[in-house]
Amino acid sequence: MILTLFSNKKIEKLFFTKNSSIKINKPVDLVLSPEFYWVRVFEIPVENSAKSIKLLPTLFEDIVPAYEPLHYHSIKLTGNDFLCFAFNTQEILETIKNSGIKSSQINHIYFAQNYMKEYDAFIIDDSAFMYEKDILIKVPKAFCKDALILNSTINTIAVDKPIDLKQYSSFISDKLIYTLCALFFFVIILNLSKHIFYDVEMEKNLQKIELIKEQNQLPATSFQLQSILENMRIEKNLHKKFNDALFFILNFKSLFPKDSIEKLNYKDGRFILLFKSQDGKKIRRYMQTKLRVLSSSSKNGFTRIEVSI
Amino acid sequence: MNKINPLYFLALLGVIMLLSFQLVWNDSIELSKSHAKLRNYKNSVKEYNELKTSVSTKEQVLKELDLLVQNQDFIQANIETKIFNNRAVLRLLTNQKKVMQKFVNRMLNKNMKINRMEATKNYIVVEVKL
Repeated sequence: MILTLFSNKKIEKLFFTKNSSIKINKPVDLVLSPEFYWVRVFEIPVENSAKSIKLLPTLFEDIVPAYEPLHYHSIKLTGNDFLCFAFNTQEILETIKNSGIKSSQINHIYFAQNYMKEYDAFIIDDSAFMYEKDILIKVPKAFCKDALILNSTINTIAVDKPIDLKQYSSFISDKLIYTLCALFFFVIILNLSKHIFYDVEMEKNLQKIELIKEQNQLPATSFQLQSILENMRIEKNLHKKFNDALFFILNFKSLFPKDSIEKLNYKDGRFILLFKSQDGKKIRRYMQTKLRVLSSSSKNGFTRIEVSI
Repeated sequence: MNKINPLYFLALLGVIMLLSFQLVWNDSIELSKSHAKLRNYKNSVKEYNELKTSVSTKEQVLKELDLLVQNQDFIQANIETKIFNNRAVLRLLTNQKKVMQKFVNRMLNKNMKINRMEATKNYIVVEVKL
């Protein structure tokens, strides 16, 4: 088909019989001889040929061998009359393959039935054909002694309706395949919609973060914010620890009213305390309950203790 | 002629469908990460604002110190204040134990970072970060 669209050259038409042996490299249209199909006119009360095809297996039941896997083709004539064909796709494809034609060379395939009417009888590839009550049939050569002997290349005839011949075999029906295709396609579209929706949601989240940043005048990156937060936490923690420690130290007096704090120094998280007390160990024990004692010494009724918050 | 087996087309669609599921799966993971990121960010900002209000600015600290110096309780006590670029030093000289306690309590109740403190029975020196 593509070749016909882009090439001006006429595609050769070959009358194809079971005896054909062809050596050709160009694309071709094949006109199949009656050996490849069963043909009959049926009166079927349907509107079009597509609907008539559904009824053909039943109508051909008594004519064709039951064991052959057949496909059907129909051409509307007049009224409810249809020219109906039954054919074995596999057999046709096998014969074409054995004749030497590559499947890629085949442009269209036609049934000869309607296209040889300018000849009453003819012989091609040593096989004789003639029209009998408007139906093209193969006959023994002896039946048509006056028949024209034709070359298998028959470019003079006009063809119009190619048959839909599948070049593959399928273990599931076309209908099921197309249903599954539609289903898969629907799921793909659904997933793509979800993808777009998720992308939009993520973009919204990013915009919300940017808005919060602007409103609170925050640093550009989360990493910077976390760093600032960490410093603030440390500072707050230190402030709380200092308050708690100082409160604890000053509370000493309520437990030991006879003793007193003579001097208190605080710098860099450390207190240096000088107590006036006769029992330095008692003060040390008290300090150890909540603070880390770094050093302590007692002399002449005074106790010097260094603690860390 | 139908040269392409529709099963190939079905298989192709099947592969694309599987890839689309993979895409959506990855997206859903990314989206939950994005939600978590937003949630964490909101929490961080909330904490940042709370911490920010708990730490006084330089102006707020100076105002607090002014109020402290002008307080009736400490007018008699002679508070010396020295303001430097990033710190302030307060020196309180008094023999009154109650005044000393009030001063310490006021200092502890304010959101001020104390760098250094030195105290005896009759004086107290406090260095505050600005």
